[in-house]
Formats: sequence, C-alpha cells, structure tokens
Amino acid sequence: MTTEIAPPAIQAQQLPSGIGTAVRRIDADEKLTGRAIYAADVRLPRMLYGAVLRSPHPHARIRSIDTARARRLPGVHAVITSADTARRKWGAFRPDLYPLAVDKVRYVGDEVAAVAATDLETARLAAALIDVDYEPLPPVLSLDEALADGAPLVHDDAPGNLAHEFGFDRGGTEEWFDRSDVIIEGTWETTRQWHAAIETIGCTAEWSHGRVTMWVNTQTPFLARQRYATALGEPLRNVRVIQTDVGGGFGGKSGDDNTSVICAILAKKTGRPVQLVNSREEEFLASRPRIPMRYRVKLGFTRDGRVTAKDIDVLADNGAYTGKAQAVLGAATVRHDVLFNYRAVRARSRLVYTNLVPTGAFRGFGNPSADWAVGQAWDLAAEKLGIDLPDLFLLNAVESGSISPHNHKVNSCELKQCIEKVTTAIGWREKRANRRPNRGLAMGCSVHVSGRRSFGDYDGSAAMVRVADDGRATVIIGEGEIGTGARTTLAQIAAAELGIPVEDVTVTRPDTDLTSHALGALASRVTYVAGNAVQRAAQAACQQLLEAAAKQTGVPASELWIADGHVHGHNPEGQQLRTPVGTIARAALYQPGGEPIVGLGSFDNPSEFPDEVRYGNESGAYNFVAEAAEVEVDPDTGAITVHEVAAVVDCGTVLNPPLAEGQVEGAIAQGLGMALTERFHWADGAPEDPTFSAYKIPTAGMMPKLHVQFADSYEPTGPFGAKGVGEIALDPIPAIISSAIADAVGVRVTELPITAEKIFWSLHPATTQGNAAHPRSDKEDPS
Amino acid sequence: MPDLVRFTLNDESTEVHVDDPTATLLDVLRHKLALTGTKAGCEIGYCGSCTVIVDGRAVPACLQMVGLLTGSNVRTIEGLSSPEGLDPVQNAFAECAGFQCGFCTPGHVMALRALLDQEPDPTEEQLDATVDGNYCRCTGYAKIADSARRAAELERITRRRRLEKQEENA
Amino acid sequence: MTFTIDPTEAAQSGRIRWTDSVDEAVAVLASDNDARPVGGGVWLALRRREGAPIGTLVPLDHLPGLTGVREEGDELVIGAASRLADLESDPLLRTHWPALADAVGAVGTARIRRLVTIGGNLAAADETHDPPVALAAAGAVMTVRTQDGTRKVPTTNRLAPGELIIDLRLPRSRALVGSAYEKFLVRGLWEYPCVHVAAVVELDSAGDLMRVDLAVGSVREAPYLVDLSDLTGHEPNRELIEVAAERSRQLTPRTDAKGSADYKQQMIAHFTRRALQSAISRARHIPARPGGTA
Repeated sequence: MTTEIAPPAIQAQQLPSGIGTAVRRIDADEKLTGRAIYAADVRLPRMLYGAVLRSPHPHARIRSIDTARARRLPGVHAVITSADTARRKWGAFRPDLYPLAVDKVRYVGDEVAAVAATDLETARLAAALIDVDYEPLPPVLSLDEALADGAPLVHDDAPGNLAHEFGFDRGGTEEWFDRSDVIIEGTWETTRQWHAAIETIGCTAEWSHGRVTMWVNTQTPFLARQRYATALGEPLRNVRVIQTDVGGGFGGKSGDDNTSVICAILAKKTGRPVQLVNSREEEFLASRPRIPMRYRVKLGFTRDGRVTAKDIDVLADNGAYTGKAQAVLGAATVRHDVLFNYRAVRARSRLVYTNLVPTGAFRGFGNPSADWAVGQAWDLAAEKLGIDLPDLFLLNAVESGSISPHNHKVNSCELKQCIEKVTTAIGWREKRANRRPNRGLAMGCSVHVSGRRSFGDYDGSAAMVRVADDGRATVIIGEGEIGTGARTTLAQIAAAELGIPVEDVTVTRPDTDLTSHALGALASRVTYVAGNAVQRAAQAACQQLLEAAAKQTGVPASELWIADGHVHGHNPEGQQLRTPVGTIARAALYQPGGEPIVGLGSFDNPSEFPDEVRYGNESGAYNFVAEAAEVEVDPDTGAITVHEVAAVVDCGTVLNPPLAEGQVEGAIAQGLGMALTERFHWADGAPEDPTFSAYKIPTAGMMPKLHVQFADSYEPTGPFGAKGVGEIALDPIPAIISSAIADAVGVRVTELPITAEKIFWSLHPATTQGNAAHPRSDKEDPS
Repeated sequence: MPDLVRFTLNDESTEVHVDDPTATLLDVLRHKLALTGTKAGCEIGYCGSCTVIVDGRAVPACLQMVGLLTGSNVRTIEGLSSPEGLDPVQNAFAECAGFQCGFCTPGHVMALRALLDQEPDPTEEQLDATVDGNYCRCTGYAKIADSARRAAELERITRRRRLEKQEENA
Repeated sequence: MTFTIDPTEAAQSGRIRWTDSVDEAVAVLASDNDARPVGGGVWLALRRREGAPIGTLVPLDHLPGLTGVREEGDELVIGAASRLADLESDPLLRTHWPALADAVGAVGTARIRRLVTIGGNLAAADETHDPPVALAAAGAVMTVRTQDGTRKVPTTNRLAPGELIIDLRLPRSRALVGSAYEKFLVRGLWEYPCVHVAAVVELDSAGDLMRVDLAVGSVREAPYLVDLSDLTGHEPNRELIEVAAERSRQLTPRTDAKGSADYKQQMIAHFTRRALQSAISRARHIPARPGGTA
C-alpha cells in the first residue's frame, strides 16, 4: 500500500465505470416524446386558467380598481386585487414586494389584479376589462435619476433609493497603488439580460383542507416554498411545492416573482385548481432579469506585470423590488478576487431602486458584470504593460492553496492549465503571428463557486438511496432537474457507488412533502453538494447490502463486492457467488425483523457563511475557466461576426462529458447573446416590444466554431473529484468579445450590449450624426 | 354554434368542435386534444417550439389557424414514436445529448423529421438551415447540430433496413 | 343566473367561409363587410392574438389558378396564393427576378415561409415586409378582383375592402436588366430588417443607365421609391451610385432595437450602394462579389 497522493491523471484513471462516460440521460425518452410534464402541461380536473393585469405606468398611485366588467364576463370565476391578499411584503433578502400592488405601482408590469376563468382567452380578455384609475407619479428610470438629489422615492423606507450598500478595504489598497508602476482605470456598464428560457414561468395550484399544493417549474422548491408561505400569509406547513419539469432556469425560475403566489390566491378564491403561466410578454415585463451594473475599476500593476491592488465602485440597478439582487451584487463585488493574486482590494457597492423591472439572479450571478469591467481592464493592462495577455494571466493566476483577500480558500485549481490549453485551442500564437485585417483576438478567465452559503448557514443536501427487491435503486432527493442533466449525473454517482447499471436508478422529483430539504439548482451546486450527499447515501445503501449479503452467505462483508447489479464473492468452499442485489434486498426484508435497504447521506458544503461585508470562504470548491475568441468586424456597417470561441474549464472530474460540454456550449451562447444581440428599445420605462421579435437570443446560424475542453483536474472534496460547471463559461464572454473587437478595429465598447451601431460611429466619427434628430412618428411622411 | 373541423391527426381521422375556427392549432392541440407535447414558447412564430408537420411541411402551430386545416394531415411529436421505439430523429437527440431542458426539443425533432421525409439524404446546409430557425436557450446548438447529422445517418440506416426487410419478405 | 353581456365584452370569434371559385369568394367579400381573404393566415393570427376582431375569413389557396409561377406573353405571373417557400426556389422567378426571389427567401424563417402567401404578405401592407420592396422596385402590378371586375394596379397601391389580389405581374427579364435585394440583419440573425433596399437597373447597349429604380422599406407604410430618374442616360459609375446613396440617406427611418434613425440612414445609403452595384453587375452579366464594395 502506498500512501502517496496520486496525481489527478492517475486518480481519474481509477474512476469506476459509468463515471466520466457519455451516459444517456435518464429522462431522454419522456423529453423526446413530448411526455414530459412542464408547468403549462399540468391538467387537473375542473382546472381554471389565470391571467394578470399589470401596470402600464412605471410609477403611479392606484386611486381605484373597478372589476365589475371583468366579473360579468361569462366564464370568469374570480377577479382579485390586493384586497384579496394577505397584504404582506415578501422577498429573499429585503421584503418589499406585495403579491398584488397595494396603493402604488412601481414598474411597468407590476401586478395589479388577476382573473381566473374557464379558459385562457377568457381570462386574458377579462383582465383587460378591469378598470384601474391611476394617478401617475414621477418615476426614476435610471441609476442617475434614482441617485439625484431630491429624486422621487421608489419605496418610502429607502432614503436615497438605496436598497443595500457595503464596502471594504482589505490589504491596504492605497499603499499598494502607491507602489504600482502601471494604473488602469475605467468604467464599464452592463444592461438587463433576460433568461429567455423557452418555457416561461408557471404554476398550477390547488387547495385542500387548508393546504395548498403548487406544481411549479422552480429551480428551488424549498426556498420558493418558504417565500410563497410568507407571501400568502400562511404557515410554512400549509404550503407544498412540487417541481414540474423545468424548461430552462438560468436563475430566472428561483422564485422571486409573483406568478406562483397569485396563482395560489386565485385557487383559494375559486376553490378550484388554477393554472397561471406567463405569456412571453409577461416574462419580459415582470420576470427578474440580470442586474445592470455601472462598474468603475482601478487596477495597479508593477512594471513586470504583477497585479497589486484593485479598487471598484459598483452601482447596481435593483429595479422596483429586491429579489436576490443584493446577493448578486455581493458576488459581483468579491468573487473575481479569487482569480488573481491581488495584494489588496477595496470596494464600495450600492444597490439602487429604480422604477424599472426588478432584477435578480442570472447564470453567473454577478460574475459576468464584474468580468465585463475587470476583464477588459486586464486586457488594457496587458497592452500598456507590453505583455501578451496569456502571459500576464499566467503570471498572476492563483493555484491550489491560494487564499483570496476575502478568505476564499482555493482547493483544487488548474487555472494555469486552462490558460495554457486555451492558448493552444484558439491558435493564439499563430493568429498573433498572422494578423488579418478587421480580425481580433482576446482572452479572459473567470472563477465560480460550487455552491454558495448565502441563504443562512447551510449549503447542504441530503439524499436517501433505496434499493428495492426488484434490484432497482431510487434516489430520493429534493434537488431536482432544470435541464442540465443533474438527475442523470446523480444517478451515475449512485450507480457507481452501488455497482448497479445506471438504467437501474431512478431519481425522484423534488416534493417538499416527500424529499429532504434542499436548496436547489443555484450557484452551480448540484453536482458538488448534492452529488456528495448521493454518494454518501449510496455508500450507506451499499454497505447495508453487503452486510445483508454477508449474513445471508456467511462470507464476511469485507470480502464481498457489488458489480453489474450483483453481489460477488467466494463462499468458504471457494465457489464463486453471484447474487442479484434485488435478491439480497428481498431476503433482507422477508425474515423476522426484516429491514429495507435505505441509505441516508448528508453533506454540507465545507464553507463559511460570509459576514455582512462579504468576508468568508463562501464555497468548498472553486471552478475555473479560460476562454478566448476571434471576431471580425465589417468596417462599413460595424457588424460583428464571432468566428471561434475556445473554452477550457476546470470543473474537476467530468462526470458525463457531453452533459458538461453542453453546459459550456450553452453558457457561451448566452454570453454571446449578452454581448451582442439581446436588447430592447425602451420607451417610458419599458421595452417597446417585449417579444422575441425585438429581443433576439442567439440562433444556430450565428454560433461560432466552438472548441470546448476540460482541464485535467480532481477536487478532493467533490464526488469522484467533481466540481460545478453550470455557470462559469458564460462569465468572461462579453468582455472577451469586446476586447477582441478592440483588437480588430481599435474600438473599445464600454456599455453593453455591443452593437454594430456603436462600432460604426466610432469608426466613422466624421459621418454626421443627427440628420434624423426628429425620428418620425408612425404616420409621418418621410419627404 | 361551434364549427366542426375534420383533419387527420397522427394518422387518425379527427373531428374537433371549435367555437372559433380562427383559433390556433397550438391552442386546440394543447387544450382541446390534451396533446401537450407541442409547446408554446412565444406564440408569435419566432421560437419554433410549437413546430408540427402539416401536409409534410414543418410549420409553427401558433400561427396555423385550425379552421384552415380541413382535410389536412397533421403530425405532432406524440405521433412520432411507436411501440417499437423512438423515431431515428429522437434517437439521434438521445445519443448526441442534443437536448437539455427538453422544452424546445419536440419542435426541433419535428422540423428535422419533416426535412428527412422530404429529403432522405440531406446536405449539411439543409440540416443547418433546419436547425437555425428554432430557438434553444440551453445547448448553444452545437449538440443539436450533431443530433441533426446523426439523425440523417440513422434515417439512412433505418430506410436501408426497411428495404432489406421488404426484400426478404418478397 | 343570467348575464347581461355588453357586446363589446364578448370574445370576438372569427368565422371561416369556404368557397369553390374566385367568383364565389369575391361575392362573399362583397356581401360581408367583415369578410377578408386569407392565405396562410399568419398576419391575421398575429393580429388575433393582439385582440383584433377577425370577422369572416375566405380561404384562397385551394382555388384553381391562384398558385404557381407562369409566363404569359411578356409577363411573369405569380399566383397570389403561392406560398413563399415555393416561390423562393422557383426556377422561373429566380431567373427573371433574383431580387424578388431573394426578398421572398428573406422573410422570417422557413417555417413561416411555408405558411405565408405572397398575396397575403403584400396585402398586410406591413412596412417591414421584404417582398413588397422588391415588387415596388420591379414595378410589379397586381391583378385585383372585385365584383365589378378586374383591374391592374401597382403593388404599391393599397387595397380597398372587398378587393382580392389574384396575381402579381412583372415584365419578363430582358438582356441588360439586373435586380438585387439587400436586407441588413444587424444582429447577425434572422429578424425584421434593420434596413432593406431593392434596386432594378436596365442598361442600354452602350452600357448607360436606361432605367434605375430603387425601393426602400421600413421608412413609411409602403415601400418608398427614391426618384433617380435624372440618373438615366449616364454611365453607372461610382459617382452616380454615390448620388443615389446620398438621396436614399435622406429618408427618415425609425429608431428601434435594431438601431437609431441616424444609423439606419447611413445603412440605407450603404445598402443602396450594394444593391445598385449588384444589380448593375447582374445587368452586365457579371456575378456580383459577395459583400463587395465599389
């Protein structure tokens, strides 16, 4: 026996079968045949359909609401206003949202009243027949308007429209700037980006004996349940949440909006099941898009390229209500500092109320906004220092054992490997040596967590693994599937530990009545946190099986093992034993004092609950990425083509390569959308055309050639060495595209999204702007 | 008085009574016929998640008025697989991990099914053009493109086997 | 329980009226003020979703003679109920009017082009639509039927209630005629155009311009025909193209998610250049360089 710690490559070779292979998804058949039940597919007897009336004003007082005409419409069963609610404010961190507006509306889309009717068209028609008398109030429609002296207040209890603020100075920032040779400064801004999951947010609710059951496409059934109970004015025990199939999450279905709450109120009012699903327009008007941030950054470097200090001032647009924005702002402020060896960091971060659609969690959770600013500052630094960007990154990248100024303790880390591999994957040196006109190249890095302690001092998960007498295992867990394939990877982990085929594993859906508490699909945590819990539960079940088999065969448990769904070993006579696990499980049951095989496993992220100034090791494992892109700009129009994107991710062991690749590829697409295509034209505080006609998410035709790879890596605290992978590949993309454009044509865009128009005007400064200073109204003659 | 619309749906003749024949096929499939495999993603013809096959052509069910379907042949995702197993297109998506959340998947599958019905040996350009119209927010399309290519391969294999079987029987 | 229903509060329910001939369809359209012809029904389905009353729809595409492309004397005739998906690959159309074939193929996605008919696309009178711009530059006329008879009017005319488009007519292509359609997708993916321009030129045997027609979409309700008649008789060189570009740049498009009015003006000028260059090249039977500039 050797006690040496094997290097990652060796450990990876020792992975059990079924781990690190392209296992077919366990939910493939139901999703490919149209049988999966998403939020809008739930059908209950006597079910009604809901519709919501939303505010057309960014800020107004409600003088009166007349629901008479709506009530008279045949087929309408209930029309509700705030008078029918508990009039209780709710919210993840700062309760400020009523289920239906009380006295005031604060953004275009704010929920005012709702209808339940026999069909959807009738419900929507009835909602339009509700008469609301508004007294418009002056709104604040931007960060600057909200922070201006004497600005109207969005909430009376938030003076200066500040929802949250914090700051710190760790390591003596000024001294380090004084010792720096090169200083880079700039301000970068991001804008709202919508999750635009193809399935919108929806719920079906039904009351029975004072309890409500809610079938919701939420990423976080247990956390959502807690908030729904508050919003409904019900004790927690009266609310049951069951996760439907989820048609894409990306942070947008983490239960900070009113749709499910209103659905439950309509169901209570009518005494019938009610289904309420956002239309695409409602999803744009009233879900919780990515937080726009104005991010001022100052970086210091020594002459030889060592980073010294970082100072940031961040303003974040909360919108009208606070969901998870203050946590997102926290991540946007500190997370990046895990990436490089900063000696000192200083920050001031403020979350600002505006009369715009509330913002919240979106894949990357603040990181993309930080990377948009800091990533571009690093690109500028490389230029100013005269050091090639990959070399500058390598010089400053963290390694295993690094500790950030905020006490993030880096366990496994292959950031340098990622940088080196991505340099090769994009052909950096060749492309640099053979520059082509209007083409540009850039690189970026990022770091993400594998779970994050943020909703109280617990970031754990627990699972039960049951092995039945049919030889199948059931993983009972409250985490759930939002599209990433989490149920499949959890099944792989259970199967590998149990020694049974993955086809013989079922993973249950989250149901707050049946499964143990779980935080859900957020913070790239399910593989790492839930994976560990499942692994432990499966180990416990395996041990029970072996002990039962030992009793049944007389062979010591230590000399038995399970493979291919059978218990193997040799009896004292030397004959080979091969008994199906189902047979062992049945024999363990059918005997005096028989017991089922049920293993319990629990895992709490080995992390610290950060304090109010965000000090604390928020996760037990950090994942890393290096990405690079090549773009081309059409100088005549400013139009941008992204030719290639390369990504190398350190997510520890890759449990299921196609699924992990899919996370990276999808994240890159969303990053490209954030950078280039996703935007609205705004008028009077709202998107002018809140549909997919104006808001364009990337399509297959605009996708560049992708090179996706994984670092050879092993996280000692992860299940089979795995870490999170869900979010990280999005984070650096917008900054990389911007830097690549700067490399191509010398134009540096500082405000997202990057548009052909912005580049065009920079390339053609002599061209007169202002010819069409008076945009025509629709009917005006152009002559 | 409700209108009666007669058409063939997944190889069965179907009669639907609709109050409004200008209602969309999507609405009728999901709410009158309980066929919820066809998804509503935008209801204005952009996302492609409601793609069905009408008279051999992939079209968005959200823009197809049901009353105009009199006499037509309609196929939905529910009509694709059989007791013998999945359609080659479905198998391709499973093999290539061509779906994540799965919500847009029926639309992609139906669009490719229509292409392969019309063009059993499609070019890469035809496959890419078929995928390009349909939105997917999860995959970044790389594995959908792989699935499309694999679907064409599996289609060729399936057709060859079918032919061989017919020859054996003959 | 009894309900008193205000008629304005009742859901507007549409009707479909099948007919067996164009004559019968025209008679229905004349007799019912709320009746209108329907091709693929896409535009109407979108209006219906917005809550617009639909009335009686008279389907057309099953009626004989309303689909397909044919040559009739000196004219190319396109049945009004032809689906865009069929037209974009129609060999006759591609040979005679590449600009129109390109414009037809530029509409939405293939899924939508399988539903939309060219007559419906034109009748919608939507400034963002592609085919009307190419038709306007080509000088196409439409055959319009009412109960009173048949007349031929430019496709840029608006239809009156009860009028039915039977077909669209363009001159057959001749030597030294070239056409081009340019649609700028500013975000690199399919959507309504940022700007769109169609150009048609005809050269004389000396290579000078005999005819130059330029239509610009999305600047007002109907495609805008830029008056370039003073350019005929001249050699179609770079200076002349600049004159055309500068003139089209004077149009006033609308600011939206695809760009500001200022930017769109610059792009109209740019794509005017490209469309004219391409049309001139085609007229000279020289293949246009993709994306090339003069």
